[in-house]
Amino acid sequence: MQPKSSFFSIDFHEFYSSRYVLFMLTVRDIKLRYKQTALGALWVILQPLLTALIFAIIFGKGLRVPHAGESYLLFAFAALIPWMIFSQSLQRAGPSITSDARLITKVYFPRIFLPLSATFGVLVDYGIAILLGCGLALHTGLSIHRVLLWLPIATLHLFLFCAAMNVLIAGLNVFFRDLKHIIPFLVQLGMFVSPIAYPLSVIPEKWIGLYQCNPLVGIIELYRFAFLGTPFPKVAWTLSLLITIVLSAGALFSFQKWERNFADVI
Amino acid sequence: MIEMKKVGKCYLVEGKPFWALRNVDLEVDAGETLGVIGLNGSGKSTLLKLLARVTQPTEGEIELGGRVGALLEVGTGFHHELTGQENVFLSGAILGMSKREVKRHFDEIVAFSGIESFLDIPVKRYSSGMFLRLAFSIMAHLRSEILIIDEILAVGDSAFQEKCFAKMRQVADEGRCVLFVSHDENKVERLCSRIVQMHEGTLCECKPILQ
Repeated sequence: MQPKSSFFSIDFHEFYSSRYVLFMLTVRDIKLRYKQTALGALWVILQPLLTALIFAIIFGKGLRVPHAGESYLLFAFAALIPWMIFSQSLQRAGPSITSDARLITKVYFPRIFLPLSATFGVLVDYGIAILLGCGLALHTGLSIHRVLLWLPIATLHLFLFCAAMNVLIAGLNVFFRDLKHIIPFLVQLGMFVSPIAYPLSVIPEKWIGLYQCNPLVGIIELYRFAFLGTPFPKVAWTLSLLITIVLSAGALFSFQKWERNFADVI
Repeated sequence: MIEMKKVGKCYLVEGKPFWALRNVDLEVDAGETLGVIGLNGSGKSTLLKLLARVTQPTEGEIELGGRVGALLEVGTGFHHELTGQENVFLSGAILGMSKREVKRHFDEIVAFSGIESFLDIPVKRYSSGMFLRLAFSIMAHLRSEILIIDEILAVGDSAFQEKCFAKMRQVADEGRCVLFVSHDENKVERLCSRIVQMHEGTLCECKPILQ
């Protein structure tokens, strides 16, 4: 070990050889979330369902927002799955390094495991939400082929994007604690600039290019495509994939540069 | 097994550089139990953190010839909401054990700690003695080639301390390398085959102890 100067010295071998730590941290995250809650794991089902129901009542029945497919509930639910994974994992992963300051100053393991475990901690919620989504979609005519082919792709894309985002935010949060206050604001804003309550088609022609620069747009539309058979989001998804790849590389490189100073700053 | 060459660590204290450690050369061989003594603020903790890879040196080189088990606090990685059993796996993993190692040593760890009947309750309900025993049992079953130990042995009753000392000697006899840091010279002399002293961020060799 010596003072590192190279920017490109990510030790993937170390990630692999200590993957058990990542696994155990993820298990810890999942267990802690529902310990001592009265309804426990039931929240995993209630949370997305209740949110989709409220959406269906306010936007679907009340405001009569246009939507694709027969039911507004499924229309909203398909978008809420990726959105809730994004917002929940970000809120958990953001402070993941600062809240485990004791670990950072006492023992070594790849620090990237902390935001990653917070990200993968929502996998159980995700699995249940997907099952619920399939259940909802069944009686509106779910195409098994489309789901089987595109859901795994959408899943990988969603989690890669969330992981990259969370690693970046968690690392920055060590140096700029203001992020703690900025994140909830950004998450709220993100909800308005993503096609969750409304379809992509309501965005005016001249804004659509800018709108699609939000990588969540492509991901959300891919989920709608898989569940509802809405048009395949060619432009939005390609753009989102490109942004995700650049973001992931950027997150990896900046994180390994920052992590050397974590123990001294935290 | 441990080799440090001209190692220095500089912190910024209110905008000014402060060298907590400078020009430290150190070599520790396998099977050696090295004691590090020094007053508070002499750089002991910084040395420990560098060897534990928690922080990086500002200058110089450190070479570690094996896995490092860093026992800088009692109960590293423990979470008070999780049960004793869950914590054995979590803490074991964080301290560097593989899944197979934790599984293989699980029964031994539990037996060594003597808290078999409390494995399924959250550790927040443990007495401090129970917590300590479970935490140390995990640490005692680490199989890393290099063990770095802060004065965690200062806690616990004397009977338990004896148990810990015995375990540390056994580790050294197995040809692994132990580095023990304390400001208690008596303890260090009882335990270590060689002692170095830290003073204002530098290190000087003391005469070897004849046992």
